[in-house]
Amino acid sequence: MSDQEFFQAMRDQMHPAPEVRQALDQAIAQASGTAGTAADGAPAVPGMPVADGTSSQPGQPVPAAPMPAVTAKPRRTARLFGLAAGIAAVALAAGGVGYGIGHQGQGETTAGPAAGQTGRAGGTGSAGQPGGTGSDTTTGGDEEGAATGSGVATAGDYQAVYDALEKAGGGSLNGQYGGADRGDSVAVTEAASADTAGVKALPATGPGGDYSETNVQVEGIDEGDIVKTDGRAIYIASNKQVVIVNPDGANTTKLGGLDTAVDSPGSAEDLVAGRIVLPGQVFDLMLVDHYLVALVNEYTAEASGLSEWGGGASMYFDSARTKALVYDVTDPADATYVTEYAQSGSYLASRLQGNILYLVSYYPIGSGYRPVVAEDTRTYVPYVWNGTEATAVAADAIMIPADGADAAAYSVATAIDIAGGTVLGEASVMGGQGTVYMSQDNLYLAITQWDYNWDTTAETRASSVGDGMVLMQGQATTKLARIALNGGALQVAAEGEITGTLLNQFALDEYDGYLRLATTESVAEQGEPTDWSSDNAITRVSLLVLDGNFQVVGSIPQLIQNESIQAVRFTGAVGYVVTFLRTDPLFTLDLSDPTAPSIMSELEIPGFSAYLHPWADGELLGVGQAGELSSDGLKLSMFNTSDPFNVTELATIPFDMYHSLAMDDHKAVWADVDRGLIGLSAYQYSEDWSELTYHYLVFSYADGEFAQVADLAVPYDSAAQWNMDSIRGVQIGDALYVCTDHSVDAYTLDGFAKLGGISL
Amino acid sequence: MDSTAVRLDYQPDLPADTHSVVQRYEAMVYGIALTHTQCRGDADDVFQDVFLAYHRTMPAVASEEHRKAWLIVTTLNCAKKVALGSWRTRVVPLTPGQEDAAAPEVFHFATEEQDAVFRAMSRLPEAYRTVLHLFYFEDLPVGRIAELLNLDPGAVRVRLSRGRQQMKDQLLGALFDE
Repeated sequence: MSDQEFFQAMRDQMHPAPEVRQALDQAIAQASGTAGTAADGAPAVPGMPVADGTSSQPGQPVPAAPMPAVTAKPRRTARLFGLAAGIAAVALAAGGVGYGIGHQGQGETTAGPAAGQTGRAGGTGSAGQPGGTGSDTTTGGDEEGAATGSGVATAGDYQAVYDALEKAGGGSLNGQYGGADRGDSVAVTEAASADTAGVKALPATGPGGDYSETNVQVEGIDEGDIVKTDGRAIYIASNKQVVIVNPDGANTTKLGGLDTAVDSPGSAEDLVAGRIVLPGQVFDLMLVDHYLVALVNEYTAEASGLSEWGGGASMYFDSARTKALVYDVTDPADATYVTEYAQSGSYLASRLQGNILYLVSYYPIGSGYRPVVAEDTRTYVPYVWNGTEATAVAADAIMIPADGADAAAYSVATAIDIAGGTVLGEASVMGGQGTVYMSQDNLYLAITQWDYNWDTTAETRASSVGDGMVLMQGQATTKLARIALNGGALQVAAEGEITGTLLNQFALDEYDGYLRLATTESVAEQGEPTDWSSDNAITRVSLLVLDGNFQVVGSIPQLIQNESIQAVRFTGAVGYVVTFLRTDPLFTLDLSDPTAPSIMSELEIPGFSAYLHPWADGELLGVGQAGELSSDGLKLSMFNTSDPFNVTELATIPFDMYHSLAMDDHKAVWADVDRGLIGLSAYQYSEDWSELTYHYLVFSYADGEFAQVADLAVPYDSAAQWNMDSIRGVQIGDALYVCTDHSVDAYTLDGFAKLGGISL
Repeated sequence: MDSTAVRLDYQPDLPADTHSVVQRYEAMVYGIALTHTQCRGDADDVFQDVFLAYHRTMPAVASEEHRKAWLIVTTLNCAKKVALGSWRTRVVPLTPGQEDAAAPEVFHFATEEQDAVFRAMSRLPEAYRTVLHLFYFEDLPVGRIAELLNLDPGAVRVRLSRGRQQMKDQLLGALFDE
């Protein structure tokens, strides 16, 4: 067989399962306005209660993706596996066994507009943005390509919210399954009655603060993570459990665990109307004062949507809630559930400033079974729960982008005073899912939108850097929203849009009232063709400086072209950007004058850094690839940044691994500057690619030199469903604990001798 | 197999209705989705989202090549977004003990060799993988790939050659010899 034939033979097999294709055909037919065809009327699953008035289409396989009625916006879906078990669970619950916790109907909560007004001042403003100059900025004639930005428009009432959603949804909010008359619109499910025992008094503090904390982007702002420690215990998220470990060197033991599915079990009460509420896994943990907060999703699904597909069984959820389950860990050996908070949508991000927890979720509308109707705000307005008490986000706390939302969805942000037991504020931005970045004063959302309307006769979009270049057709722009923290009284303060995309949360940084962004965009010169076949197109990396209203006040139009950004780190008046195609230019940028940012130096070395970490004065640590190929292995670099005009690579150490999680997730890095130690996990393939091994590596850095001081094996079993992204190194006292969602191993900090280990 | 840009057949009169387009490009879109996401379910999502996007947008195309290009780039973009979501945020086992049923379903080919090639491709950095896929599975010439990805042909050749090298390292076979 020739090579050509070999590839053709593979290509010929690249087809989706027939039911996926069928479902697409059906979706297209429906989108065209022709009614879907129903198969026979028998219930999809024998013995299952059928929802009232349903015109479900049993016999039709559930397609692989709910069809949002928006323009080409791919969205996440969740699959719930385990059909047989699911039926059993549902049947059991129906019989009164299983969940059965008291469930209150929605009746108490008003569905009309203006429910849950929190009395905050509505409207626009640039609160918390001292340096912003708003639209007064005029820094010369070359700023006409500015980002759009202004004060924000919040909804006048819920009808306006509904109308905006419908418009964003391409004219219809009821996609694949919605629109069918399902009888009474079922209430948004309440949380189970929580034991709202009073908050315990502050305990005597633990054994002191000699322990490592999560490696975060902004000093003083904690980020939720899979593994947390307060020096007295290590808390590890493992599927729906939180395992609590007593870190005692050779005597490390498992203290206990919290089963979030027990404390927040969901409810099968909605079975009559054909709904199931199911607890999801713990995504992140946060330690607040003497509380542990577990951040989980809770899913509501249509029971009639259960079907078998592809060997497993999957059921798409109708809607999700993000829950913050609060446990008192004054005594880690006796952690107790205290209360919970929830908000509409799936968990997106969490931050902690002082004792205020900020939670962001993403809430799409109209992609499930439940019909969305303007009269019932519970079907399209985001809600926030304090325990069982539900409050709708006020219409004037919902920002609708001036030129319409790009998706029928919201980002929902809340500020919770965990110790005080109150929700301090909530705000919502209508639009697609974005990257979250939080500074000391503001929460930012950056939402990338791809334009699928490749109509080359349409008006071109000027590049935000304002140098006369225009965006290529079909290329991305990023919408920005700024929510002022106001000590918890969240308020959407500004919106804007820039051309190009952002790498991740590190590509944004607020300093001295200005927002700095490192972007990538594909542009061509004004007047040149902008369709995909243009020879004049270039992809470039730019630096933008925006004021509080997202107006561009300064920029570096083109750091480099036809390379991609690998890492960004802003440190006050200096910024570092790594790009890569062949070699690693590390750009050092002078950002001291927001209106005139400039490149101070460009260092070219082999490979590239994927993560940058300010180490000490004049030193910058980089973690990344040693050469052009991933088969060249990885390396650490220490850059001498004391003279920003002449940045050099002071020291480097290669290590023979294929990839490190540190390159993808900053929280996986342990950097202890005082001790001169760096820890990270990495994996390597065997020569014949058949075996994978995981390692936790520790390096020392002293006197301008690196040394690898430990290569600790991390248990790995390819057959088990362990989450190898959960590997974290936690230092407590004079021991290092290598933690995963299935193991904790203790080592001496001096010499890394293994003290002991436990399986979780 | 290297070649300069070759003009492919110009077929302006192929039907543009969504059903025909799906018929014609199902394998192309799905194939790209498969090599740019991590599991079958994600590929299915991309597959559906791309054609629905086509249906809603009905992009104005001057030629069939333009339509094909639109689909390729849209699929690449869509796959990028879908793949960014970690699989563990997508799966909710209905009961404990079902966690193993919750693993993302991997696409399997008919022969072990094909599986090995697919796995090897999955391990490549995305930049190389995209170019290799378009070159070997879609038979696109270097020039056309360059246009689609907004690169210059030199960059495409570099990625092709490095990607091939990595594949060879992994597979130790003759399949990717130049």
